[in-house]
Amino acid sequence: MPHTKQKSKNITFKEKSLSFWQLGFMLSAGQGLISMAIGRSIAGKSGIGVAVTSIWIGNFILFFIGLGIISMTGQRSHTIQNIKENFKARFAIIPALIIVSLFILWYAVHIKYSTDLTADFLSLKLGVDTSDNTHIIRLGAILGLVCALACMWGISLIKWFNIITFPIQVLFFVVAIMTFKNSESLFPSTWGFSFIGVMQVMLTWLPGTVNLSTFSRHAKSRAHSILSLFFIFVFHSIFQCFFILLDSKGVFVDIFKATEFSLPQIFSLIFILMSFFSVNFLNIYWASIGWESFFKKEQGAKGYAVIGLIGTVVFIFFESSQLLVGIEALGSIFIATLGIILIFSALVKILIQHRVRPIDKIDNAICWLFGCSVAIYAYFHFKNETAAALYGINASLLVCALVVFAEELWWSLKKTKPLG
Amino acid sequence: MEHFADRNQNAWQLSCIQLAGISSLPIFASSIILSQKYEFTSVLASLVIGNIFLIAIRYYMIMMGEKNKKSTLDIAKDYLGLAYWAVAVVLLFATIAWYVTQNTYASNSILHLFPIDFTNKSSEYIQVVVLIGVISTLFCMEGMTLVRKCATASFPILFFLILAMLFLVPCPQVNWSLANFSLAGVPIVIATNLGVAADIPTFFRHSASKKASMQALAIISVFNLALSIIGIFFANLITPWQGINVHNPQMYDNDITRWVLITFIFLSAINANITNIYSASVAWEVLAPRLARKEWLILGLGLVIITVLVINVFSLSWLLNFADSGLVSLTLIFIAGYLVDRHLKIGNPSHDRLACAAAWVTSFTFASLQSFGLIFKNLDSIYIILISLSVILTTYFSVQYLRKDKRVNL
Repeated sequence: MPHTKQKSKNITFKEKSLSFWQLGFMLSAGQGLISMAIGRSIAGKSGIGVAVTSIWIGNFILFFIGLGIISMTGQRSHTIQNIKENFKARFAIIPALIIVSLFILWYAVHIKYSTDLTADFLSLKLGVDTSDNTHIIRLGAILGLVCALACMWGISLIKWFNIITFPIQVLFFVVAIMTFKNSESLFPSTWGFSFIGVMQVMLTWLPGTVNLSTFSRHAKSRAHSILSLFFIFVFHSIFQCFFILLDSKGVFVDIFKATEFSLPQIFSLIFILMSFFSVNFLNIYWASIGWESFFKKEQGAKGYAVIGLIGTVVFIFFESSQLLVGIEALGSIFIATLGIILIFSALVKILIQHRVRPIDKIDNAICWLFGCSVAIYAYFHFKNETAAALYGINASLLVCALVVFAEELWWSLKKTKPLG
Repeated sequence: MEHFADRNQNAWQLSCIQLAGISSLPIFASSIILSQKYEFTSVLASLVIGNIFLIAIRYYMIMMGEKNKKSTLDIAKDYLGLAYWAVAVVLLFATIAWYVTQNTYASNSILHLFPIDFTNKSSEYIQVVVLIGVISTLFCMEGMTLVRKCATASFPILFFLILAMLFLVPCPQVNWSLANFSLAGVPIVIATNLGVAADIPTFFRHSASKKASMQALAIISVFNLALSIIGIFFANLITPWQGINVHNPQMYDNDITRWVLITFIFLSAINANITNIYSASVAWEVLAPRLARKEWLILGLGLVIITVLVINVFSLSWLLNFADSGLVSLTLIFIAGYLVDRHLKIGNPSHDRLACAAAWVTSFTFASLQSFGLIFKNLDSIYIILISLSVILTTYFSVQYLRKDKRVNL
């Protein structure tokens, strides 16, 4: 693997010739347990059929959003550079700040999720008393600290760790389904389509998809980026079906509850930890891109460590609070709305060639802020992340469409002069 | 050793950094322990005499770093040679020990004093630890410049709050009797302050001049004695090595007292933490020679996470005794090394360093074993350190003197 270091728009980065399978493996391995569990959640509410269709349709839409993001971004540009091109440069600091905060929150949320699962294993299999909250906090602090320090090796470590763990994760799925599959189906086997289900699937990976260019800039070529997107679409969909195939209602708890203490159970714990490190390495890298746009001097190994340590401290502080989940949900919606605006803006640029360009960036910023405001209102009104995302995205799209409508009307009136 | 900022501090700024860093709950412990053992006159005399010794010790510590603006670690390189790596480890360990102790006391006390009935005490306790830790980290991000500004602004407030506490909290009865007069408390006063003295060169390298350093020494000595004496009157309020006395809530049953205490504890914990992190930075410089914002952040946040990991796992007295054994023996070996270097000059410098390193390691080991209760249970660790240092250094220098004498006679 060539190990080059080149300069692109003041940001230097290594690893500029990743092939499609390397990128695909990296991002598939780093899907994260929360995203994997979404299939089980939908199946529990609406049935297996609805979950499977939601997973495949949701990921299919994400594929197209990813395609749009990759196509509209320069081959060596990352997300923040993409935002700066479509928003006013000074204003870009707000989305950059939200991206850093969101991925740090994701880091903390993944620590919490993995810590809870590890604590389940320790209490069910080894009889360790994990009822005291401080034990969970300590366990999470250790995981977060190790992850933050390990990430100091940067993109090379992320690449190799995720590439190596990906086949192991796939192997685990096979072993788990062969060993722990429930004999009777626990989920209703209704077939159908759920719009809410599709939205739920999309929301688990939409912030990642919107920020895809941060990783796709490492690809050999645009063709490799797009082929890796196909890999991600297929493997994310399969991974999200895992708990449905397992017929497991609790994430891993059913596996740990099995009376026999067996090697596959230890394999489950290894899988949880691998999955945790894979996804949190990606989260640190994603956050570092926003961080680097504020502090150019602060990039590099120590910057990654700082992000990881901040994420760990956030986990410790909010461990027993629901606030973390609420802020993280709102952050995801803001990024989702941002992604939709970026794609809408790119489409409008392609479709309408005569548009007055200078005010484009201000339009985009206002539409995005409007969408975010509506999402905040909807979140507190409906107390539901999916509904808030729908309202936020639709509101921003509506305002974008209204702006284009008004602009085009004004332009056509000026050109035809029907009034004068 | 020439790469640090803020090298023009005046006497008041130098004093505020030292005093704001030590004006916290644990520092009153020695006065309270003494007042529980001895009568008021004995405690007062012990504090005065102990502080006179401390002035001499602080003077030597300032002088040895004065010439080339040396930090504690630079002095360790001069007197202990390669053993400075071990000194760096001890400094980092001491920082962790004090950081954990400060945050434990502060969190326990603030949660107890705060007029809210918390539902999940263990989580809230850790949240307070994290909050204090993160605020301290933010105040460290600009290195000494921000530490100085913070300490200079805080110390007058802290001193005012201490005086307010003196009026608000009922004081114990003062007994002026001389019937059981004793000066047995002097070693306790010296021992509890010797550990802090090891860090003096690290802070005084920022002094504008030797005159400023000497004026600062005078200010620190006066305030230190005053704080120690005031500490005697907090015997009912503070439980040594635990924080606020939770069994005596009538001491702070009104809102004004509570808020004065909360503000004092919070502010003192922040100041103690930032001076603590700064003193650890010299050890950290072994790994990262130039400290920028990122390194301060890693150090500060790392300490917060380590605190969460070790809090309530290791005994605080164990942590403090171990760290203190290392620092007290370090201070004494520095003074011995300085005096030998200045007045004797008989040995080969590399052999001198080896002898000093051996003496430090031996005294540190014996003092640690004693503090864990494994050897000499009835002897104070300060005596063990003094004895082991004296035996090794006297033997070494006697041999050197005899060899030199032999060469001269030949």
